[in-house]
Amino acid sequence: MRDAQQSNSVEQRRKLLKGALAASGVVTMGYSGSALASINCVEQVRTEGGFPGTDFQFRETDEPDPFVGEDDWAWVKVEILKFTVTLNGTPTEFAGFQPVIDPAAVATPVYTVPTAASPIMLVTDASLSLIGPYDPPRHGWVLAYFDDTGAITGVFPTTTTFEEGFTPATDRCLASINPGLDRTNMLFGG
Amino acid sequence: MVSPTGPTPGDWLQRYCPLIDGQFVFLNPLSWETHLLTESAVLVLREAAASIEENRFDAFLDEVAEAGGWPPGLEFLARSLTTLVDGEQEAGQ
Repeated sequence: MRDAQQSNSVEQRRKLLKGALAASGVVTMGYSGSALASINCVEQVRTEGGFPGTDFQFRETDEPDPFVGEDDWAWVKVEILKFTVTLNGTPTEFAGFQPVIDPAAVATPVYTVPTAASPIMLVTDASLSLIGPYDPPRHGWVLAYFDDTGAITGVFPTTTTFEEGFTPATDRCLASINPGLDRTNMLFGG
Repeated sequence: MVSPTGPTPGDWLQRYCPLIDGQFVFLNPLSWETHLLTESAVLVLREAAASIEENRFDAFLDEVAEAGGWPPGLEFLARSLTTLVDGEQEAGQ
């Protein structure tokens, strides 16, 4: 009985294989392998991770490039500026930044530069006003997020959750899938 | 024995044979060419991948021969998957 069942199963498998072979079609497209491989490189980040956690997606550093290391995640430069808010009637100065994909963009939210005592905070107070740049200038870097074609879609901390359409990506991956990416305001590192 | 470091043939199909615009696009791990495949061809490659991982690729080749043989181009792709395992297990040996 058992032998008969096994034999039946083998016969069914043979029929399936025969049908699949008969209906198989292959068309060779050529050497576009790197692009195909790269389609998955952004997706892979969502399953394998490896990028800095949200506590480390903003970094204040001066030149030269501090991010060159084992990893080559994409970061966007932000300028750190002096802002003020009025708290309980008292003007209070703080260092903040506006995370933008396009440096020319205006009316973007203002976040505080994190310190040992205080995490990044979104500042929404109506009294918020810009004083100006520091002297010498201060800069920071925020992790960039991309869609699966390698187009930039957001930066930390405006974007913090990673999902399809918003995924950190590496230099190598982006070079394959979107070689035309504007890297003017970007830097790559760990 | 499947290499402990690289992707297995099954992993390769999972990662590098996506369905794009209604067609499967297979990246050949040997030549780095891409190939458009029908769903049936992908089914055959999955069977091939499983047989390679289970060290019974020779038996799979016999099954294909008994089932009428390979359609044009597919055997080369199936054999390319054997390059993802270590040198002790070569295609058809």
